[in-house]
Amino acid sequence: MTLFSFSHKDLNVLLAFIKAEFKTKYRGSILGITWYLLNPLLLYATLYLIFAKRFGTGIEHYPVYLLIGIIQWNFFQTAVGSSLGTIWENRTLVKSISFKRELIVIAPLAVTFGSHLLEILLLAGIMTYLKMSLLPLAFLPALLVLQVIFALGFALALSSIFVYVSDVQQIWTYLSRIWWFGTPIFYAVNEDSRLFWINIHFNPQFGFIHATRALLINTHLPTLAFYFTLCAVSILTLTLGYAIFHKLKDRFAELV
Amino acid sequence: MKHAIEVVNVFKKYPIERIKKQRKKTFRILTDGLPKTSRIQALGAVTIRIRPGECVGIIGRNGSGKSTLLGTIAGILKPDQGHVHTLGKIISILDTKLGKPELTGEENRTFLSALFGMSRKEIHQTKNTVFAKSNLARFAHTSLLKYSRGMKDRLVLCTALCAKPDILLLDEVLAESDHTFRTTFANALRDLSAKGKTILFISHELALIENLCTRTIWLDKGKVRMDGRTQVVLQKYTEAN
Repeated sequence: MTLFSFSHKDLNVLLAFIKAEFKTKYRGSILGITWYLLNPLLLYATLYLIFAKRFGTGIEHYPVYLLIGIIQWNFFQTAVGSSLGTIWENRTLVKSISFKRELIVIAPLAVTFGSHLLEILLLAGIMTYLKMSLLPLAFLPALLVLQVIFALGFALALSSIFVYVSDVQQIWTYLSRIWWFGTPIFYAVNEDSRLFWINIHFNPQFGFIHATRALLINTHLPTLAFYFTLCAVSILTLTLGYAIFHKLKDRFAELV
Repeated sequence: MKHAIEVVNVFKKYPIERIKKQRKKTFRILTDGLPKTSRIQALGAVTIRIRPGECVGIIGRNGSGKSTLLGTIAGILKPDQGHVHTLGKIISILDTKLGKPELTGEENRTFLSALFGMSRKEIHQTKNTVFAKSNLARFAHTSLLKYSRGMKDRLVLCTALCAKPDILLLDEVLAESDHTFRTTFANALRDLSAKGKTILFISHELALIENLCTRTIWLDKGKVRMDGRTQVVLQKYTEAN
């Protein structure tokens, strides 16, 4: 099993899938690709209006705190959610043409990552408005890479299991909702609390959000130990996700 | 001479009743443990050797293993036993509903060309050829949703031809095409064959097989029932059916 060895042809195919995914996503809608930015903006505005007074008091730079939580979570959930049924959606291609199956899963994730970069621009705009330093953003790519690796691991595992057991989609929708509420996205948790302890030890998504908030709001780089833990978790997730995908992919064409 | 396609003692089985009993599956797992799925034999001890430049027709009743054979040669399906060797670039059209309906004809051509292994330079160079051959130049920037089934088939097939395959695998691809395109496409296949390219062609239309193929393989219940000159095989097949 070779972990992601792509030929020139594979990269061409990946690019073709990304282009197709990008063009088809909002084709036919009046606002088109503007939705890539409008979606998180509307969610942010809604949550800010609801939660600012209830949970925002006492949290430094709550608008930025909330937006970081939303866009980080949004990237993970959209990336995994859009990849989940992608093998089934591309079943005519899977049944007819031989190409690297991983590419179908990577393409929607890549498009989601593109819209995530737009969301980060939005974040930078709000930080500028609040007269915060933009310098810490230079360190953000080190965390972004890990988030992509982590999400890809989930996407590969769940999309391949979905071909065999479609219940995965319903289970994922339910579990991700619980995960969302359990992760301090719009509320803060005391660092001495049990919820914080659970999140910091068992919730990699909170790890990414916490590290990003510390970086952008408090201009603190994560400790090396914390960063390497996030690295290990991400790489382990990808390795496991790819192993599952690799094990299951031979029968995709029979089952879709 | 080395064979373009060599299928040696290939077996392939499929699980059946999986989808129909999906809803009951959860209860069966809870009560009886993991279910024992029965399997149907799609290919059994199939051995075929095809030389470069041959245009071979594959005939047989529904469920005789024709599409499974092509899927196995294309590398889409993994044989349970036996092995498949191929020589050169394979392009398989096992379903002509390949495009993305929301995209235009040109966007679909670009997308499929990449899947057929063409470089970006080749994709750019073959734009006019594909639309001229398929007679779809007027519809290049029209959404595929507005295309008829025959138009979609023309676009997919002409894109595949421009991708310069060494081996072309076609499964019932001309069923919806008009007479003019059939003639054009048949000529293109003969040209391809004359250039030493190998073609495997599944069809239920025996006249089309007779017109295109010099050799025909008759599959029956996953086994090769007859393999030989087209006229002889077609005569026996017609008598038996």
